[in-house]
Amino acid sequence: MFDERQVVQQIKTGDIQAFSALVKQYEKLVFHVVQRLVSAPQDVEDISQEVFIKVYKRLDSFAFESKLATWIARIAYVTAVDYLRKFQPNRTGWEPAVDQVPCTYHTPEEVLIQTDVTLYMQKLIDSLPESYRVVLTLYHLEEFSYSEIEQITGMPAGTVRNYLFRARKLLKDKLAIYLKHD
Amino acid sequence: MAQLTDEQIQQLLEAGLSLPDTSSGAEINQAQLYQRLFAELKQELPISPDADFSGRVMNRIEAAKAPSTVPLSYGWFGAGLAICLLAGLFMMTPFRGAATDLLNVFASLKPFKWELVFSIVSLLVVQWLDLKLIGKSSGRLRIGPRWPTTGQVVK
Repeated sequence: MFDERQVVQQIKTGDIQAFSALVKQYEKLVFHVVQRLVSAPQDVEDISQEVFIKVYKRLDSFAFESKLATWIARIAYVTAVDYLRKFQPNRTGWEPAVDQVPCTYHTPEEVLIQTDVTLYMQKLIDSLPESYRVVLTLYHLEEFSYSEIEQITGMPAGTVRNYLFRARKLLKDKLAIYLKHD
Repeated sequence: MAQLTDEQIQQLLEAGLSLPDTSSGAEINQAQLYQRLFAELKQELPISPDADFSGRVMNRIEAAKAPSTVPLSYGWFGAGLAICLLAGLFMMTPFRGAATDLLNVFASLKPFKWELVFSIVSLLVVQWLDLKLIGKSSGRLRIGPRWPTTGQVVK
């Protein structure tokens, strides 16, 4: 059982192995947050490493005002957004692009691809604006609450709720068309 | 009775509730679509950390904690330079007028002071441009040292 208070205390007293346990505990969370914003696998790896180095350096300032997972997710989110600002300043990820993802296919090859609904959904999610992708992942995959997502992303809880609703409705409508043609 | 909106259906599912018994076929159909979507959103993402990920992070932290040898090198360089200067001054002391000669050399350079300043500034500008151009040509984020061959991720 991972006791975050105990582990943090151990790390603060210089137990480096305790930090290794922390990395193992939260590496998936960090990868999830980062890859919802950054697509290149090697960049995901590099940014995730950087996130844990920041966590290590800043752990002294962590005072359990939130869950450790929320705090780490916040660092991951900010680091990935900083990366995008620095290296992809002209990206159009905040504009809804889901309508550009094709829902109906006509060639046999495309029909074959269509048989995997999970792949299709991933493609649809990838075409959503960054903010939608992040809140979907934090809410559904990581099971953070609205207020925790607010702490992580800095978006007001109402905005988080609104983005979640709109993203799910967009995806549901696409899924309906997809299944009709399946 | 009014049809349930998308928002209401989403809220019911979020709360783990089922649709009312009086729900229409269309509402049930919508709820089923949302249920399927919620299940898809729980699917694992394609890029996962491999077994060595924590090891690579720990290596970077250990490397960052190791004392850097660069300041020490500068220290030794400074100490060597100071010793040379002191030795030079010491050697010149017995020879009367040697220090004056040295000052005369500096004085003779006085008419060329702006040329000297220009040369030094040009060198600094070239160095700065070199640094900037190299930085831009890399064009991608590379945080810290690149790990030799273990940077793969499991798909």
